Amino acid sequence: MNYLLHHLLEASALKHGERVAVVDGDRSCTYAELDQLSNRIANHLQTAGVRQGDRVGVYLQKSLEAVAGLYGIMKTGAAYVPIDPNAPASSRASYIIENCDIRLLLTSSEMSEQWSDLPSGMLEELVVLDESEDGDLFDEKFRVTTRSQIDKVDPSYEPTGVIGQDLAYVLYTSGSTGAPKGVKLSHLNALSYVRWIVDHFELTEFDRISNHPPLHFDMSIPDLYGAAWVGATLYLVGPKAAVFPIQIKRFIENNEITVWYSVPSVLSMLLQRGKLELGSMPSLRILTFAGEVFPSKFLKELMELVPHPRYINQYGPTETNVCTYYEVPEPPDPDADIPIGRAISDVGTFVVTDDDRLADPGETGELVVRGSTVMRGYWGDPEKTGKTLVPDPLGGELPDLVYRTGDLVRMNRGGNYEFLGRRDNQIKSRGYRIELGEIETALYGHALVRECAVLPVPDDLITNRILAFVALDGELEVHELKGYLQDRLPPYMLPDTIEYAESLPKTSTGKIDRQALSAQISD
Amino acid sequence: MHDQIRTYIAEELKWDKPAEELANDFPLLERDVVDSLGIFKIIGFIEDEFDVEVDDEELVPENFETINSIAALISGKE
Repeated sequence: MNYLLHHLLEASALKHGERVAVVDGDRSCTYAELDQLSNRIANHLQTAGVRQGDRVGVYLQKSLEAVAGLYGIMKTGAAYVPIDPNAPASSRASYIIENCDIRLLLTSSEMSEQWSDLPSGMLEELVVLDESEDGDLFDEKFRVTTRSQIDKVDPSYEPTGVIGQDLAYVLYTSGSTGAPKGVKLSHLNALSYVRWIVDHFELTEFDRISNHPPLHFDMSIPDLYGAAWVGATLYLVGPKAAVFPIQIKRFIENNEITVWYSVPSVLSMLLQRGKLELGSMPSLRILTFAGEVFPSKFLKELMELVPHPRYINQYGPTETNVCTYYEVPEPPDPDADIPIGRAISDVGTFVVTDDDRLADPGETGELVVRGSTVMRGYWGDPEKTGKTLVPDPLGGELPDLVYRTGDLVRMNRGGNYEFLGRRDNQIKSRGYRIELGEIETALYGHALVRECAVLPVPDDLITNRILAFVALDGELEVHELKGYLQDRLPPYMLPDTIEYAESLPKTSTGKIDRQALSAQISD
Repeated sequence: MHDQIRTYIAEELKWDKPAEELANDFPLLERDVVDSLGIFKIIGFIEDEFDVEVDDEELVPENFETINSIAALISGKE
């Protein structure tokens, strides 16, 4: 019985041991090889002191080794914590390592420039998973274990006492008060969602599944574990291919990809610059997207040009994995938004009005989610957890806690939810969720920043561009401020534009007048 | 031409040092100075500033790896 994520790998290694599990550029490995490498990593981690219930960080570019690392960590009974390899080591990565009590980090030799900026104290050991010249790998602060040492470790495996309710991974997302927050997800949380994916997408071992989203993004979950569930092959999309639309088309066609999952902006760019023709990418069976609203006019064009796959919109905050979906039946009306649809299997959803009533169909309210995909809370933050994971807000008898998404929705006549916006300052850009407050906190961290306000500017391709208004006490070049932010925020949170002003407009109560600033943008 | 490209990238994309420090052979893609949105911005800039058209077939990493390669792409069209 598969009740842990790594059981999927073990089962596929037994049943489909010789099938290719992961393709990473011109390298690949079979299910048997992936299972064996993950066993060696697990055994090394246990020797190094990792115990059930611990957290182990993953700080390297997506690769075959990184995938083996995730399984290796879970096989020890610990949870993995993927850290954006492009996030600055000295601030965000360090924050996550300290916040999540991480003592061991899986990394790669190409990340070695970042190592000196990692925090000593908690962190003890770096496990370097790629094959490299061992002589170069030495670090003054940390113990370093190399791949050649890992390759000498015993590949047999002893299961631990972990159960489905235990944590499989912790994903850090943007936090409104300035620090990222760790969403705790269990094996059961992920498996409940992946079961729906396997079933609803009718995955088989003959599928060729792409993995475009990065590992620290929850959109990587169905790719990774859906493929492992059925013994299909996972094709990792490299960072260069990810930037160029025409490379994506070639990637899909050359690898005969059958299932593609990415944020809509990638697909919009593919449409505009990918040189698509009628019937391009004939192998595609499923084209699915999430993370932001897909502009209907682009989706319509894409569906007309590439009519053969099923188009499926998925919706869900990281806290719920995915909770609703909408299968787009035909090229949509370019003037109507794509609905987020209805609940996936074994997930309950309802809409609560501002005065805590159950919303009628057509009435706007906050979407509330319950079920086995809902997170176990925020790491080390019971207060924040208590604000979003709550008892039945309608005062009923629901036996479990439910998750308040903060997303405003209403049900349309067809019984599908429509997404209307947020209750707070959270925005989406390139599919990432971003708390504007976190960017403002970073700006205020600079001694010369007197006032600032960060605003979203709606954009067809990437949902929102980020604009920062800043008033200074003194002289500061824009590039210096950009550099300061780059050391503190991941690339996707950096303002696209920084505008200096003498001072920012105020409301009658003395607060920064965001409406006036918004009006300034639209002029 | 190199300087025009340099100034544009330094001001509009993810470069955090003075423009002069952005060398002609700095790996723009590898170091994430140019990301997927950045590519679209650069194409718009090239098409407006140098009055050339970038063909979709030319949207490959080799043409955008460095300031040198972007300049070569434009020169090949003029």
